[in-house]
Amino acid sequence: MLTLPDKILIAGLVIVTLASFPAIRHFHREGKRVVIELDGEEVGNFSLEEDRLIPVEGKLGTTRVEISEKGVRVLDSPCPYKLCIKSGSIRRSGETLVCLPNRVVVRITGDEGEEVDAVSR
Amino acid sequence: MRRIKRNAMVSSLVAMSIVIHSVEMFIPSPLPWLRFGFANIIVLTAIAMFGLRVGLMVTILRVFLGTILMGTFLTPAFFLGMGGGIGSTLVMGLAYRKLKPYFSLVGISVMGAYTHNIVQLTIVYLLFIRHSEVFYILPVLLLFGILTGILNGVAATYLTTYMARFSFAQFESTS
Repeated sequence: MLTLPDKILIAGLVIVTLASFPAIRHFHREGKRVVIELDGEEVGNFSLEEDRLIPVEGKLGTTRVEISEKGVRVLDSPCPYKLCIKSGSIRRSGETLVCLPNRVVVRITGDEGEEVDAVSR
Repeated sequence: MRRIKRNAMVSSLVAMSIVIHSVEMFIPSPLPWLRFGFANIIVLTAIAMFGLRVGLMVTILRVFLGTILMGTFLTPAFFLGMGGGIGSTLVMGLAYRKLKPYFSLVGISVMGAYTHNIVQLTIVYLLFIRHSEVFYILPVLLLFGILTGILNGVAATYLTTYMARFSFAQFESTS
Protein backbone atom coordinates (compact mmCIF):
# COMPACT_ATOMS: atom_id res chain seq x y z
CA MET A 1 0.00 0.00 0.00
CA LEU A 2 2.86 2.40 0.80
CA THR A 3 5.07 3.41 -2.08
CA LEU A 4 8.70 4.44 -1.70
CA PRO A 5 7.97 8.19 -2.12
CA ASP A 6 5.27 7.77 0.55
CA LYS A 7 7.81 6.46 3.01
CA ILE A 8 10.30 9.18 2.14
CA LEU A 9 7.59 11.83 2.56
CA ILE A 10 6.46 10.49 5.93
CA ALA A 11 10.00 10.10 7.24
CA GLY A 12 10.91 13.59 6.00
CA LEU A 13 7.88 15.21 7.61
CA VAL A 14 8.52 13.43 10.90
CA ILE A 15 12.13 14.65 10.92
CA VAL A 16 11.16 18.23 10.02
CA THR A 17 8.47 18.23 12.70
CA LEU A 18 10.77 16.87 15.38
CA ALA A 19 13.39 19.44 14.41
CA SER A 20 10.83 22.23 14.72
CA PHE A 21 10.31 21.56 18.44
CA PRO A 22 13.51 23.38 19.50
CA ALA A 23 13.25 25.82 16.58
CA ILE A 24 9.85 27.08 17.71
CA ARG A 25 11.16 27.58 21.21
CA HIS A 26 14.04 29.52 19.79
CA PHE A 27 11.89 31.89 17.77
CA HIS A 28 9.57 32.44 20.64
CA ARG A 29 10.15 36.00 21.70
CA GLU A 30 10.93 37.20 25.16
CA GLY A 31 8.49 39.05 27.33
CA LYS A 32 8.71 42.75 28.03
CA ARG A 33 7.09 43.47 31.37
CA VAL A 34 7.04 41.74 34.72
CA VAL A 35 3.70 41.94 36.50
CA ILE A 36 3.49 41.10 40.17
CA GLU A 37 0.15 40.27 41.68
CA LEU A 38 -0.77 39.90 45.32
CA ASP A 39 -4.06 38.20 46.12
CA GLY A 40 -5.19 38.75 42.52
CA GLU A 41 -4.43 42.45 42.49
CA GLU A 42 -1.58 43.96 40.53
CA VAL A 43 0.92 45.49 42.92
CA GLY A 44 3.83 46.05 40.60
CA ASN A 45 4.72 46.33 36.92
CA PHE A 46 8.39 46.45 36.00
CA SER A 47 10.51 46.29 32.89
CA LEU A 48 12.27 43.00 32.26
CA GLU A 49 15.31 44.96 31.07
CA GLU A 50 16.28 46.61 34.34
CA ASP A 51 17.83 44.54 37.10
CA ARG A 52 16.17 44.99 40.44
CA LEU A 53 15.14 43.26 43.64
CA ILE A 54 11.50 43.54 44.63
CA PRO A 55 10.23 42.67 48.09
CA VAL A 56 6.56 41.67 48.06
CA GLU A 57 4.72 41.67 51.37
CA GLY A 58 2.43 38.68 51.22
CA LYS A 59 0.19 36.90 53.66
CA LEU A 60 2.98 34.95 55.34
CA GLY A 61 5.86 37.32 54.95
CA THR A 62 8.18 38.77 52.35
CA THR A 63 8.71 37.14 48.98
CA ARG A 64 11.76 38.56 47.28
CA VAL A 65 11.61 38.64 43.48
CA GLU A 66 14.73 39.29 41.47
CA ILE A 67 14.87 40.62 37.91
CA SER A 68 18.21 40.06 36.21
CA GLU A 69 19.44 39.46 32.67
CA LYS A 70 18.76 35.77 33.19
CA GLY A 71 15.08 36.44 33.77
CA VAL A 72 12.86 36.67 36.79
CA ARG A 73 13.03 34.36 39.76
CA VAL A 74 11.93 34.17 43.35
CA LEU A 75 14.97 34.54 45.56
CA ASP A 76 13.35 33.65 48.78
CA SER A 77 9.93 33.10 50.18
CA PRO A 78 8.34 32.25 53.52
CA CYS A 79 6.16 29.49 52.07
CA PRO A 80 6.56 25.88 53.30
CA TYR A 81 7.37 24.04 50.07
CA LYS A 82 9.36 26.70 48.17
CA LEU A 83 7.81 25.67 44.88
CA CYS A 84 8.13 29.22 43.58
CA ILE A 85 11.87 29.12 44.16
CA LYS A 86 12.18 25.68 42.59
CA SER A 87 10.34 26.95 39.49
CA GLY A 88 13.58 28.68 38.51
CA SER A 89 13.70 31.75 36.33
CA ILE A 90 11.26 32.78 33.61
CA ARG A 91 11.62 35.25 30.75
CA ARG A 92 9.17 34.38 27.98
CA SER A 93 5.83 36.09 27.76
CA GLY A 94 3.02 34.07 29.23
CA GLU A 95 5.20 32.31 31.78
CA THR A 96 4.35 32.61 35.47
CA LEU A 97 5.81 31.99 38.91
CA VAL A 98 3.25 31.27 41.56
CA CYS A 99 3.59 31.21 45.33
CA LEU A 100 0.19 30.07 46.45
CA PRO A 101 0.71 30.15 50.25
CA ASN A 102 1.94 33.73 50.10
CA ARG A 103 -0.63 34.70 47.39
CA VAL A 104 2.06 36.03 45.08
CA VAL A 105 1.95 35.62 41.29
CA VAL A 106 4.70 36.86 38.99
CA ARG A 107 3.74 37.01 35.32
CA ILE A 108 5.62 37.99 32.21
CA THR A 109 3.68 39.82 29.54
CA GLY A 110 4.63 40.86 26.03
CA ASP A 111 4.01 44.03 24.06
CA GLU A 112 0.56 43.03 23.04
CA GLY A 113 -0.87 43.89 26.40
CA GLU A 114 -2.85 41.37 28.36
CA GLU A 115 -2.71 37.82 27.18
CA VAL A 116 -5.70 36.45 25.33
CA ASP A 117 -6.76 32.94 25.87
CA ALA A 118 -9.50 31.14 24.05
CA VAL A 119 -10.54 27.67 23.13
CA SER A 120 -12.54 27.02 20.03
CA ARG A 121 -14.23 23.85 19.12
CA MET B 1 -28.16 8.26 -15.98
CA ARG B 2 -24.47 8.72 -15.38
CA ARG B 3 -25.08 12.17 -13.89
CA ILE B 4 -27.73 10.88 -11.54
CA LYS B 5 -25.48 8.08 -10.41
CA ARG B 6 -22.67 10.52 -9.85
CA ASN B 7 -24.88 12.92 -7.94
CA ALA B 8 -26.16 10.11 -5.74
CA MET B 9 -22.59 9.06 -4.97
CA VAL B 10 -21.49 12.60 -4.22
CA SER B 11 -24.42 13.30 -1.91
CA SER B 12 -23.86 10.06 -0.05
CA LEU B 13 -20.22 11.06 0.38
CA VAL B 14 -21.31 14.43 1.80
CA ALA B 15 -23.75 12.71 4.16
CA MET B 16 -21.09 10.28 5.33
CA SER B 17 -18.57 13.00 5.97
CA ILE B 18 -21.08 15.04 8.02
CA VAL B 19 -21.96 12.04 10.16
CA ILE B 20 -18.33 11.07 10.66
CA HIS B 21 -17.38 14.63 11.48
CA SER B 22 -20.22 15.10 13.97
CA VAL B 23 -19.61 11.80 15.73
CA GLU B 24 -15.93 12.62 15.95
CA MET B 25 -16.77 15.74 17.98
CA PHE B 26 -17.72 13.42 20.83
CA ILE B 27 -14.30 11.81 21.04
CA PRO B 28 -12.57 13.53 23.95
CA SER B 29 -9.23 15.11 23.19
CA PRO B 30 -6.50 16.40 25.51
CA LEU B 31 -5.79 19.46 23.35
CA PRO B 32 -8.34 21.69 21.61
CA TRP B 33 -7.07 21.07 18.08
CA LEU B 34 -6.11 17.44 18.39
CA ARG B 35 -8.58 15.57 16.22
CA PHE B 36 -8.49 12.49 14.07
CA GLY B 37 -10.01 14.14 11.03
CA PHE B 38 -11.82 11.01 9.94
CA ALA B 39 -13.96 13.12 7.59
CA ASN B 40 -10.82 13.33 5.52
CA ILE B 41 -11.32 9.68 4.56
CA ILE B 42 -14.39 10.73 2.64
CA VAL B 43 -12.73 13.71 1.00
CA LEU B 44 -9.86 11.47 -0.12
CA THR B 45 -12.32 8.97 -1.52
CA ALA B 46 -14.15 11.76 -3.35
CA ILE B 47 -10.89 13.01 -4.85
CA ALA B 48 -9.80 9.52 -5.87
CA MET B 49 -13.15 8.71 -7.50
CA PHE B 50 -14.30 12.03 -8.94
CA GLY B 51 -11.42 14.49 -8.76
CA LEU B 52 -10.55 17.76 -7.09
CA ARG B 53 -13.79 19.60 -7.91
CA VAL B 54 -15.99 17.03 -6.20
CA GLY B 55 -13.54 16.83 -3.30
CA LEU B 56 -13.88 20.59 -2.77
CA MET B 57 -17.64 20.33 -3.07
CA VAL B 58 -17.77 17.62 -0.40
CA THR B 59 -15.54 19.65 1.93
CA ILE B 60 -17.47 22.91 1.55
CA LEU B 61 -20.88 21.25 1.89
CA ARG B 62 -19.65 19.27 4.87
CA VAL B 63 -18.51 22.38 6.69
CA PHE B 64 -21.69 24.32 5.87
CA LEU B 65 -24.16 21.57 6.76
CA GLY B 66 -22.08 20.16 9.61
CA THR B 67 -21.73 23.48 11.40
CA ILE B 68 -25.41 24.32 10.88
CA LEU B 69 -26.31 20.97 12.44
CA MET B 70 -23.93 21.41 15.37
CA GLY B 71 -24.92 25.04 15.93
CA THR B 72 -21.45 26.36 15.24
CA PHE B 73 -22.24 28.08 11.92
CA LEU B 74 -20.19 31.30 11.54
CA THR B 75 -18.37 30.67 14.84
CA PRO B 76 -14.60 30.16 14.96
CA ALA B 77 -15.17 26.44 14.36
CA PHE B 78 -16.77 27.26 11.03
CA PHE B 79 -13.88 29.39 9.76
CA LEU B 80 -11.31 26.92 11.02
CA GLY B 81 -13.09 24.01 9.39
CA MET B 82 -13.57 25.90 6.14
CA GLY B 83 -9.99 27.17 5.92
CA GLY B 84 -8.31 23.96 6.94
CA GLY B 85 -10.68 21.89 4.83
CA ILE B 86 -10.28 23.89 1.64
CA GLY B 87 -6.51 24.13 2.10
CA SER B 88 -5.99 20.44 2.63
CA THR B 89 -8.46 19.46 -0.09
CA LEU B 90 -6.66 21.67 -2.61
CA VAL B 91 -3.29 20.15 -1.70
CA MET B 92 -4.61 16.59 -1.82
CA GLY B 93 -6.52 17.16 -5.06
CA LEU B 94 -3.54 18.70 -6.83
CA ALA B 95 -1.19 16.05 -5.45
CA TYR B 96 -3.54 13.33 -6.67
CA ARG B 97 -3.74 14.94 -10.10
CA LYS B 98 -0.01 15.55 -10.56
CA LEU B 99 1.78 13.03 -8.35
CA LYS B 100 -0.48 10.03 -8.55
CA PRO B 101 2.15 7.68 -10.08
CA TYR B 102 4.42 8.28 -7.09
CA PHE B 103 2.24 8.59 -4.04
CA SER B 104 -0.47 6.30 -2.75
CA LEU B 105 -3.55 7.64 -0.97
CA VAL B 106 -1.62 7.29 2.30
CA GLY B 107 1.03 9.78 1.23
CA ILE B 108 -1.57 12.16 -0.14
CA SER B 109 -3.56 11.90 3.08
CA VAL B 110 -0.47 12.79 5.13
CA MET B 111 0.10 15.86 2.94
CA GLY B 112 -3.49 16.89 3.53
CA ALA B 113 -3.26 16.42 7.30
CA TYR B 114 -0.06 18.44 7.45
CA THR B 115 -1.58 21.27 5.41
CA HIS B 116 -4.75 21.19 7.46
CA ASN B 117 -2.85 21.74 10.71
CA ILE B 118 -0.70 24.55 9.36
CA VAL B 119 -3.62 26.38 7.74
CA GLN B 120 -5.82 26.05 10.82
CA LEU B 121 -3.23 27.30 13.23
CA THR B 122 -2.44 30.22 10.92
CA ILE B 123 -6.15 31.11 10.87
CA VAL B 124 -6.25 30.85 14.67
CA TYR B 125 -3.31 33.22 14.83
CA LEU B 126 -4.59 35.71 12.24
CA LEU B 127 -8.22 35.87 13.30
CA PHE B 128 -8.56 34.80 16.90
CA ILE B 129 -5.47 34.66 19.08
CA ARG B 130 -2.85 37.14 17.95
CA HIS B 131 -0.19 35.66 20.09
CA SER B 132 2.77 33.78 18.73
CA GLU B 133 2.43 31.34 21.62
CA VAL B 134 -0.23 29.49 19.63
CA PHE B 135 2.52 28.09 17.41
CA TYR B 136 3.95 26.31 20.43
CA ILE B 137 1.38 23.64 19.87
CA LEU B 138 2.12 23.25 16.16
CA PRO B 139 4.79 20.50 16.26
CA VAL B 140 2.58 18.39 18.52
CA LEU B 141 -0.36 18.79 16.15
CA LEU B 142 1.81 18.05 13.11
CA LEU B 143 3.21 14.84 14.59
CA PHE B 144 -0.24 13.66 15.54
CA GLY B 145 -1.45 14.74 12.11
CA ILE B 146 1.09 12.51 10.37
CA LEU B 147 -0.18 9.56 12.38
CA THR B 148 -3.86 10.23 11.70
CA GLY B 149 -3.00 11.00 8.10
CA ILE B 150 -1.59 7.49 7.68
CA LEU B 151 -4.64 5.94 9.35
CA ASN B 152 -7.05 7.93 7.20
CA GLY B 153 -5.08 7.14 4.06
CA VAL B 154 -5.29 3.41 4.73
CA ALA B 155 -9.02 3.68 5.43
CA ALA B 156 -9.56 5.71 2.27
CA THR B 157 -7.73 3.09 0.19
CA TYR B 158 -10.18 0.42 1.37
CA LEU B 159 -13.21 2.68 1.01
CA THR B 160 -12.23 3.68 -2.52
CA THR B 161 -11.92 0.12 -3.76
CA TYR B 162 -15.18 -0.80 -2.04
CA MET B 163 -17.08 2.19 -3.41
CA ALA B 164 -15.75 1.58 -6.92
CA ARG B 165 -16.92 -2.02 -6.86
CA PHE B 166 -20.23 -1.05 -5.30
CA SER B 167 -21.01 1.74 -7.75
CA PHE B 168 -20.47 -0.38 -10.84
CA ALA B 169 -21.70 -3.80 -9.81
CA GLN B 170 -24.74 -2.56 -7.95
CA PHE B 171 -25.98 -0.02 -10.45
CA GLU B 172 -25.17 -2.04 -13.54
CA SER B 173 -27.13 -5.05 -12.37
CA THR B 174 -30.28 -3.11 -11.52
CA SER B 175 -30.44 -0.96 -14.66
